[in-house]
Amino acid sequence: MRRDYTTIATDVLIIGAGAAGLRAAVEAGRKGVKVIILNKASFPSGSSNISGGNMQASFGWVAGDTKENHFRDTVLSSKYLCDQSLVEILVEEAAQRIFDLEEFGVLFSRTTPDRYAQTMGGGFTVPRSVMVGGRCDDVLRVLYKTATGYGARMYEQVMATDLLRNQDGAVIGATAIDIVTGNFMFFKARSTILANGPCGRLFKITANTRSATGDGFAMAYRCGAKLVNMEFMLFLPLGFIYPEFMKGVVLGELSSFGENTKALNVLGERFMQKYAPETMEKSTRDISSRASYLEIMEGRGTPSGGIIIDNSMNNLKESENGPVRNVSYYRIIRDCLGGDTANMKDLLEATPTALYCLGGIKINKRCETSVPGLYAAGEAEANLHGANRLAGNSVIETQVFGTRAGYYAADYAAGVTTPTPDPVELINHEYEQSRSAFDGRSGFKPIQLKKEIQDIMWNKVGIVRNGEGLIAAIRELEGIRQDKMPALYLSSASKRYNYEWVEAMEVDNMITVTEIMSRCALMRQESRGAHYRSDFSETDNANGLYESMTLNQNGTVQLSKEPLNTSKMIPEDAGPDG
Amino acid sequence: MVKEITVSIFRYDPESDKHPSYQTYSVPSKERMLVGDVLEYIHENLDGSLAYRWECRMRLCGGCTILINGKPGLICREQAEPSMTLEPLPFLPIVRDLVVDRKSLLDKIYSVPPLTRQKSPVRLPEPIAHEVILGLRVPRQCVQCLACVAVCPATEVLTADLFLPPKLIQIAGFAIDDRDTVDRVQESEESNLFDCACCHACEEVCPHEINISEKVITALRNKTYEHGIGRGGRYIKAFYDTLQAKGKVNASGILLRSQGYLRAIMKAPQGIRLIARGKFVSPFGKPIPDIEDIRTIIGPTEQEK
Repeated sequence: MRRDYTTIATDVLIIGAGAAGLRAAVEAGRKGVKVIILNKASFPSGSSNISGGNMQASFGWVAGDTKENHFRDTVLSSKYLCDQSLVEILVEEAAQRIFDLEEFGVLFSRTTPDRYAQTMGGGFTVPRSVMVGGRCDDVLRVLYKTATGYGARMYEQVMATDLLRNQDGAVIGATAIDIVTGNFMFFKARSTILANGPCGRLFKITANTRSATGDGFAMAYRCGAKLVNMEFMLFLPLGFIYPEFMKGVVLGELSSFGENTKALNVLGERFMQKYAPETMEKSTRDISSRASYLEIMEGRGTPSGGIIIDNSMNNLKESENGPVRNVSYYRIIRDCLGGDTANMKDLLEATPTALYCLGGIKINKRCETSVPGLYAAGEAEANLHGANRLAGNSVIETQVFGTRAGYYAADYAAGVTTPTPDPVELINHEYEQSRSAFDGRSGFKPIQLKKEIQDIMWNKVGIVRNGEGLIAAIRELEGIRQDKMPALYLSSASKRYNYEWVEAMEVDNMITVTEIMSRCALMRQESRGAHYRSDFSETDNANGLYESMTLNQNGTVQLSKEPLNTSKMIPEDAGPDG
Repeated sequence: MVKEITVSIFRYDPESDKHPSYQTYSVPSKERMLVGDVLEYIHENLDGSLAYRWECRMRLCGGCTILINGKPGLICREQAEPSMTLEPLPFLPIVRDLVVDRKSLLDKIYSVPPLTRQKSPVRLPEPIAHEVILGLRVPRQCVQCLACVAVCPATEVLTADLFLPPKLIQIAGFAIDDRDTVDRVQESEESNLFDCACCHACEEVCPHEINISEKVITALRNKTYEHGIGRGGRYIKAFYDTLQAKGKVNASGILLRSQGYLRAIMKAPQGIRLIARGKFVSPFGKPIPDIEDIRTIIGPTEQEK
């Protein structure tokens, strides 16, 4: 019997409505195919929307600004774990994608009327990031208008639940739930792009949005796509610690306050002395995050569980827009913590926070995954950043690879001529699965399990990891999957905007992704970039230069170590710190 | 003793409830609590069935706006108060509890055509001064949170179909952009630009502190005066010309000048009533004695310039 669902057919289906998904929609739309975008939240949303909007591209305007340098900086920052063929594409196409954005209507900051202002970042040889005024939301609005101008249609508050495949193994679309009405939908597509990467919500403290629960990774894994480097999660040293609601939201970068910023523990010690005596507070963000995390975990954090930032020696001038460079950050700090804190006269409490998943779905230059008909772009895709990412390389990644995904997915869609009948059985199965959360009457609420998972991840698979903790985490996550998830129940039987229901589906995805992340972290017996093992604290170039590959083998996580693409730069000259 | 926040929340499921109702919750109070904290506490500890929406926590998604003690605000921005009533935004269909369907309004706002150049830029980067960019960015900070819509008296009187501040904000973003070729004057007049009462209520609730009266309404109105076309532009010009000619404001004169003889005649019944009450001032009367002083103060007419 056919369950009650709506089928909506399209050429290209894009899951995820951030900068990558929208850019893919523009490109596919330009090629004249029908495009549907699914957005779990309402527009504008996604990680790009809340990012600072800095984008790296080499224009060659200042001495030393070459594509080769952008390539080199990116590979060095990745600690050689990136796929160099993708980095080549990034540096080659970045400038053109910036020009595209300007043509669509984005306003980049200028130094002179015909030169973009370019800013420096940790690990850059030369200043290279262009800016949109410290915010990126306008980029999303411009892309949205451009995409809809080409006929793309966005379904908001629609959560994709799973990808479906035909007998040949090709992806033929996705099932989804309209969060507003609770209706079940099948989006039948000739090709599908996953652009729903972010998974910061796997951790207790994150800068990511509410929706960032790793749905894209879980869907890709379930349908058999290869994931790579999933042990690498990027953290930032400075996030809000209170109000609770704001926990993890980015406060700024240590370098953004001034020359004389001091990071202190609760004893008043400048703890960076222990971890990076030479670079101190100017250390890269992975090192600062790790130092803060260790101080807090070892009991030298403040009662609220943070570290202290002292800017009193910076002599920052008060102004209408505040002393920090970014007026949005300034206003948020002012409204949450008061004017004196925002003006950096008072001490600032901060916590490290989960920002960005460096790993993701394995793609080739055409953004094809290992499953036919399935493409990936943006944070969902990998492996561009390897073990660590430069600031300003992620938003430009959405543009470069979003464009490619849209282009090639549209090509692929045009080549699919045989009409696909609805796979009614598969759809029925998904339907039942999605509604099973309503069967429980007692046990655990989804939010409880979500919090348990987030605690486990933060404490054991967080910024500092060790074998014992990782094994315990895997066991505990397995326990949640086996014992607690079957005992889920929802407070309300209503299907209209029932966020507990959404959370129940998220928990399922979270368990899948956290297990992968923990297992990959356990396999990597070294420390490299964002991945730090206290039991293997050194970088091991003899054994660590591999891409960790995850594949779904009949429901179990199968791991392997794959050779790296080092076509242009070989790791011989990589020192212990890259 | 733990202090408590008493919060009364609007509950309504249009599928199962005949009428909306209010439910009261007690939430332990902490230092530095946002409205979002109160709702999250309820979701986690008291009642998982309460529907509310949030996404980004950085005031950029615009999706978490509700009425807090009658005033629109973002739950990621507004501080919790000891006693609160939380309700959904007005004007919009209710999905459930505090969640509204924003689509109808957002579609209207996003219907404003994007930057449209005459032809593609020949050369990129397009030459634009940075100061110009800073000005252009002001209206483009709007995230369509709809807080202004909820306090706007013009929207209340005319309905959101006829008057939507965020739509005018969108238009302003392009109207002051010299590269743009769409007729934004006509667009803003069609969006009833001149029905704004300049009460500044929108600015008080704008989470991005956009100076809407000056950077949007005044900027757009100036644009229409420059063109001297359209209802608003003609009216302002007539007002000025009347003052120039007679030294005082004269309703019938403004009517004649802005609407023309034909339309003015259609207002004859109103004119007759004014005559009956002795309040009619002829548009053809003499200027005031000190007319030259007035002209010095308000400056020369366009022709004299």
